[in-house]
Parts: sequence; structure tokens; C-alpha cells
Amino acid sequence: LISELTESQRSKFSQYVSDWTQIGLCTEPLDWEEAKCAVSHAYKCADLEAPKIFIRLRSPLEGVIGAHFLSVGASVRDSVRDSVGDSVWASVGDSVWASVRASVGASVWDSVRASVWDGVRASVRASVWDSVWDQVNKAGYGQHDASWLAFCRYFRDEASLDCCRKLDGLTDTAKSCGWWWPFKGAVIITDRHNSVRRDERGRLHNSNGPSVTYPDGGVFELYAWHGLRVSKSVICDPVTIERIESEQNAEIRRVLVERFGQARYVKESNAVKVQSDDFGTLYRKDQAGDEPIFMVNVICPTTGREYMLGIDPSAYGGLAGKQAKAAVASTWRDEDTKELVFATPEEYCWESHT
Amino acid sequence: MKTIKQKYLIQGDILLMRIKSVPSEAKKLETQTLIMLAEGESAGARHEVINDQQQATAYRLAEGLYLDVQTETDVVHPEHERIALAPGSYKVIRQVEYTRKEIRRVMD
Repeated sequence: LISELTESQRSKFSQYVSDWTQIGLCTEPLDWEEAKCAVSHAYKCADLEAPKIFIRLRSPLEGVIGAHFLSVGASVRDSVRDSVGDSVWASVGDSVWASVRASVGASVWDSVRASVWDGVRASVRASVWDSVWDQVNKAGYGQHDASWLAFCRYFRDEASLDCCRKLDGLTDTAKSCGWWWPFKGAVIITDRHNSVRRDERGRLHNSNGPSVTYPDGGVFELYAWHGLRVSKSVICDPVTIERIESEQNAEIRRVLVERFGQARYVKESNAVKVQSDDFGTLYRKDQAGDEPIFMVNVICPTTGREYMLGIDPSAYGGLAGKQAKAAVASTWRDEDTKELVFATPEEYCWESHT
Repeated sequence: MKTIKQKYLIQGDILLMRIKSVPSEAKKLETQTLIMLAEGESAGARHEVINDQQQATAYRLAEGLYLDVQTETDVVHPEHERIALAPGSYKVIRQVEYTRKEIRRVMD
């Protein structure tokens, strides 16, 4: 059993993370011949006969529907109804998984997992899950299996853990296709996504369109706002005050407020004017089932320009939520120590401006 | 132009805080004739320290930017009055907007 990695073995982590994240997020068109070979290889690794029928579909949604019909549909029932998926996973996965997991910590796996498995696969899965049946659990996730396969591949190549070779076929599928469904004698292979948009933290995000698309003419798309999966209308429809106020779900309401502009929302939606002084005007906008929004309208003493800033009402023992001066003072915080620059709001005064 | 010797100097969304000395672990930055205090911002938010005669030295530690001012110089900005910087050490603080704590649940 491997109990420790050498410095030189560790130094390769970052390369694996970057290679496999790229595999997981790949949006290249699928090479059909390569995908067929990959899947056949996965069957072979599980000591199963390669499928004779290869069915190509364009997205995970088409895939689950196809898999559903393959497993219960009358016309093809006799030849392909016996799903061998379970035996593929059982014979390929368990033993290898156990020994690899037991070996060492999971740096490679965790990093790729965060971006591919938790980020993209989980969203695609949840979205397909909304639409269809239990076929989701019988899929091979192809490129979205990149996370744990990266981990195993690392041990195969850098630590000579030979049991990982049983996963070579699955590794090929990760590199060559999207989700796939194995049956006895037949297999459904689906295309990769053809676009994935993420924010700077790697979360699915697109402020004006789908975050994930497939080459299926726009049938199956995912919309997300900084990792939060939302419906198309939340991203694409015009936002109005009425739309925001009628939204019951607090998370969705926040997305709508961000799209509308928090400052504009507070100004235009009859927010409560809490207090006004020489430093600005403090507003509070209550939100059903959520923290209220506190913003202070600051007037810059040198340019005269006004701007709205969100503030933490709990600063200065709650004074920032009651007094404009304290609210403005609370916008100065040392980013390293997270401490307020001004120990008390009184320390903040105009004379410090030129 | 006036020289200010208080503990804090504010120019728009930038604050310069007087400190005893720049932390010894901070890394010295390459000498420039203008030291940019807020990077990656649009042209309208450009706060710069005039350093044509090497009046000051800039340092970075983690996200923090520090200045050691040897001889008096100015912080300039296209829309703000210039601020005179007296010799001494400073930490550059940027105004921060508070965003509410995430309420997101784990998906899936």
C-alpha cells in the first residue's frame, strides 16, 4: 500500500489538475470513431463483449430518454433490454476504488472534482433529473467522470498502482465523449457540451444566456448565476421591481436584484430611509425570508458624485445599520485583517479628505 | 495644495493609512515613475503616486499594497484633488462594499 508520495510525485499534481479539468470542461465536437473505441475498451476492461450497436445522441437529456426506451421499449426489448451497466461499474470500480482511496489523500481528485464534478456534472445531473427517470444513475458520465479518474490515473502513472489499469477504458470515455449508457450488445453515447461558461471562481455562470449548451439545437440548456442553477426566465427575461417583489424564493430574488442592480432597486422600490447626515443617506430594504439590504448613498466630497454602497448593518455594534456616518465609516476595512479601519465612527471625519 | 499629517488620507475609493513601518516580509515592487494604487480599474478610477524622482517605494504582501515615502509627493487622480503624501509608511486600503452572506444551498 502506498503510504507516502515523494516530492517529485507531488510536483505533478498541478499538471494533472489542469489536464483533467480541461478534459472535464472540454467543448470540442465528439469524434465518433474515437468514442466508439473508448466505449468498447471500457466493455473490454469489464470482461464484457463489445457492443454491436452504437447509438449517438446529442445531450444527457436525449441520452436518458434513449436509455429509458432501450431498457423498457418493446421493439428492441429482446436484443438489448438487459442493462449490463451494473456489472460494468461493479467489476471496474469497486476494488480499484477501495485500494486507491485507501492509499493517500486526494488533492488531485478534490481540485478537479470542485470544477467538473460538483460544478458542471452536478448541475447537468440535477437538470436532467428534473425531467426524467432513474436512468441518470445508470449513466457513465464520460468527461464528467474526469475528477475521480484523474485521481486514479495519477496513481496509475506516477505511483505504478497497476489496479488502476482496469479504469483505462473509462479514462478513454472521459477523453472522448459525454454521458453514455451501456447495455448488452448496444450502447448510447452522447455528445459533449459545446459551451460551458463559468465565473472567475469556476462556478457555472452566464449573465445573459445559457451556462451549458449541447449540440442539440437548444433543447437541453442549463442556466446558472454564480453556481446557482436557475430557470431560463431568471436570466433572460427583463427584470422589474414587480418581478423582484413577487419572487418567493430568496435565492432567486437575490439573482433578480443583482441583475436589476442593487443600488437602483433600493432607490426605485420605496426603501426605508433610515437616517441622513452630512456623510450620506442610509437605506434599508426589507426582504421576505432573507436578510434586509442596507445601502448608504455617499456623496464624494471632492467630486460631488453620488454612489450607493452595500453595508454590513452589524458593524460598530449595529450602529452602521442606524446611522449614515457609521455606515460610511464601515466601508473602510483592512482586506488582510478584515478589521474596520476606523475604530469608532467618530474617527471618520471630513478633514481626512482633501 | 496642502499637506496633511493625519493618520488617514482618503481620495475617492482609496484610503491611505499611516503605519509605523512596512512589514518586513513585504516584497519590494519594481520602480515605476507612477505607482498605481488601484489596479484593474477603469481609467476613471486611477489613483497614482507620482514617483518620477523616486520619492516613494511600493511593496506588496498578500493582497496588501504598502508605500514607503522618502520625500513628499502627491497622489493624483483625474477627477480628484491631489493629496500630498508626507514622508512615512502607508498601507493602501480600498473601499469595500458589503455583500450579504451566501444563502445558497448545495445543489444536487
